[in-house]
Amino acid sequence: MIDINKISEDEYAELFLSRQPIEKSKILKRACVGIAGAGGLGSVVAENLARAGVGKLIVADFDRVEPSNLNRQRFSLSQLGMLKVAALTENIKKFNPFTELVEISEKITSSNCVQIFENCHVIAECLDRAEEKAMFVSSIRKYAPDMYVAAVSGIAGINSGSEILIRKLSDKLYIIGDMKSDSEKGEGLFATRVGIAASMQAHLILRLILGEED
Amino acid sequence: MNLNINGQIKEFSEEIITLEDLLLNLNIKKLDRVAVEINRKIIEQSSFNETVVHLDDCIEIVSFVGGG
Repeated sequence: MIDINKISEDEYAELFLSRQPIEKSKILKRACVGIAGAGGLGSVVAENLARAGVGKLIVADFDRVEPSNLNRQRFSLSQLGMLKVAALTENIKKFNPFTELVEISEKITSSNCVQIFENCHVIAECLDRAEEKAMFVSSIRKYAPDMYVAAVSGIAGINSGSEILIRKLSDKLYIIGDMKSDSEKGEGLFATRVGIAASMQAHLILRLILGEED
Repeated sequence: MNLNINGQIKEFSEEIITLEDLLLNLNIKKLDRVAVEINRKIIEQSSFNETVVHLDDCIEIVSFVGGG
């Protein structure tokens, strides 16, 4: 057993990524990903990308952790009341001290979103409300058309996880989900189905960074 | 008239002039939940009623639902 207190951060980074091909990890380390929303989708996307060693994550969410979040969002009882972006950083730093995390605790609007996520290679749309999703995707596509956007629509309820698909809408815009299951129609949100979409979203983002196309 | 929507040719019996006509014809009422690209260019919600759609346009429509 390795005594983690006796090795350097560089040595730990090497061990941490030892099960991924080194040339892929090098590319991921240079990448910057924007995450709009740190809830059921964003908390999973951020953790997945940090596990893969993505170099920089810019996470934006103005909300705080509440009990009703904990059935699906990757936070703990001890984090109730904390800003989600701060709680997320705390969780990620426990296993990955080298990914740079930028916490933006303001509400995302059509006028600030491009500035917040400037210089990102890919952006994950992880917002909750349909209106916010449409506003965010439209704004990023209009003002930053060179950025990849991975958005999500249709993850509510208990229908099969295999109905959640990735649809390429235009050359830089992907939509993940079943396109119809609406959380506002009383179907509820489950950690599993939301997590499937979030993991597909994070995996798509890794692939886009690595030059693969879905 | 025929229009190319989300990669499929769709036939409309009525005349469609603007993007707003098209969305209403498709029974999309909540226009603030929609993102639309025409020929890979995003159309802002504020211009839905003044954007004219053409026969050879490639139109992509996403109607977002909640959950995240």
